[in-house]
Amino acid sequence: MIIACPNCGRSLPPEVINAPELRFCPACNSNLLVRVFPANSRAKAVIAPAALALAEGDASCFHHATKRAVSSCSQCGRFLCALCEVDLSGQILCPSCLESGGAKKKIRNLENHRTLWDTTALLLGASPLLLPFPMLYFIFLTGPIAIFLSIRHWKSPSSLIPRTKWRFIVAIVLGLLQVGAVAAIVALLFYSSRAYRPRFEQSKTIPRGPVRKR
Amino acid sequence: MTARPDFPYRKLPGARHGIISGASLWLGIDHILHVKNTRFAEDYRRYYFSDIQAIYLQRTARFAPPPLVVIAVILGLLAILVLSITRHGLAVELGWIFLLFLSAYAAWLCMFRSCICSIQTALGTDRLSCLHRVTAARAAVDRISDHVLTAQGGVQEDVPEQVEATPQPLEHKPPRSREQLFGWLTLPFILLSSVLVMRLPLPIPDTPFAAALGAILAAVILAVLALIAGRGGRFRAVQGALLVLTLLCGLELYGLILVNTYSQPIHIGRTVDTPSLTQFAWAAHMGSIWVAGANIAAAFVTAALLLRNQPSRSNP
Repeated sequence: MIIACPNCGRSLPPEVINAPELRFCPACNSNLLVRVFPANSRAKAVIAPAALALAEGDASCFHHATKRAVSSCSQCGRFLCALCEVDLSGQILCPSCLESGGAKKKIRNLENHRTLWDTTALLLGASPLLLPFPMLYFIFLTGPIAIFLSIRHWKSPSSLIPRTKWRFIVAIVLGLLQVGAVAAIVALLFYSSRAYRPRFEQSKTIPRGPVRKR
Repeated sequence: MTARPDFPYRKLPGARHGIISGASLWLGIDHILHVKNTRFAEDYRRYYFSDIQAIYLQRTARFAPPPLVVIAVILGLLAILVLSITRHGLAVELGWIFLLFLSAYAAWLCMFRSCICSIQTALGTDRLSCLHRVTAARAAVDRISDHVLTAQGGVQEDVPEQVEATPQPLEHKPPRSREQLFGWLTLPFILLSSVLVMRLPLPIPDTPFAAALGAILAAVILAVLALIAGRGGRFRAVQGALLVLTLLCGLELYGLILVNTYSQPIHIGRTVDTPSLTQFAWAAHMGSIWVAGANIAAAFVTAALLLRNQPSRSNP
């Protein structure tokens, strides 16, 4: 494959490629460091038809009855020909196991997306601090949701790269604080209404005048 | 440092940390993992050592804001200047917010983004957004190269012979012709803006507002020329640096306008003492001299760069 300048798209001369220091592209003067590896000039691997042919006494592929089996799936054990085998990090897989493993997220190397529940819970827990004006009215929701997400996804796979649980812990603490604040506000309202009622009733039962005896 | 068995990845140099998104690069057993973080989720892309064909590292111009940012800054500055005529209070508040954002962006321009790194496989070329500083990118590329060469069973020295067979360009574009043309065009415009700022021979009212407009004009001219002159190299870096400098000068003059605004007597119960207009005129005069000096320096730097860039930018 042609090694082209990423800026102008023109092919680069040999003195620019694999140079120890940055060099300039002669066409556009971009300052470049280009590392080219043997895979660039390597021809694509082509499987010879003779390698696939089934001979007398050979095991056949599970998916192709006329093809010779060369390996077996490390998950289901089915015999596989050279067309069907998929080498994934040293593990031989058949197409069906590869598909099911990718769909059920059993094979880590096939995962391309993960939801970060710990960050979600942390942001929910910290939302009244980050956005006090709109989110302060929703602390009766954000606190319990942050606690729920932290407990529900405590053991869920978080990220492929190293990540600790401190976000979950902080989210639980912030969620508990929000729940406590909501409980305190409710209790305050309740007791203030209770404390106000007798005086109100007392004011209503003020004697209007001397009671006349009949 | 060895990788933990449950996390078979080791961190490679270089990362991008943003408020909304981020990116990082991790070294696996047989591949590198490019992680794009969108705060609530992570997207992964794997590049297996046996599939990597090439890695490119392209140094970019620092202090060179992208065209959209330049346009947004200029429009914002003009809007605040117009507001300062009609509604002083709103202009003052917006001016401070604008200055805050501009300072943050200037710091970002100074501190980040000095290169673009991309990786080529048989399926195409992808950009590694986490490698945006030259030092970290080179360290990462060196570490990746060792693993790739081990996996592909080759050595770096025998690759150029394989690549030499690739077709060479039929013709070379004459380098820097457009940049030089617009670079030379920059000089009279910068000098014109300096004249406007200093208000020497022209019947322009001697107010800091006119000086600020001169600085804005200089910034607009520099921005347009930087956009046209365009692509990469030291020329754009110098243009971008001068643009930021001129904008800062304009902002300082705008600050002087704000001083003038606040120096008017305010009648809320009692009259507030204000600095004398003589002091203000002296400050405005010094500011305009500073802008003019910056523009003249810009002209000299551009001229010097244009004169010496031919030998300095050729391949050694």
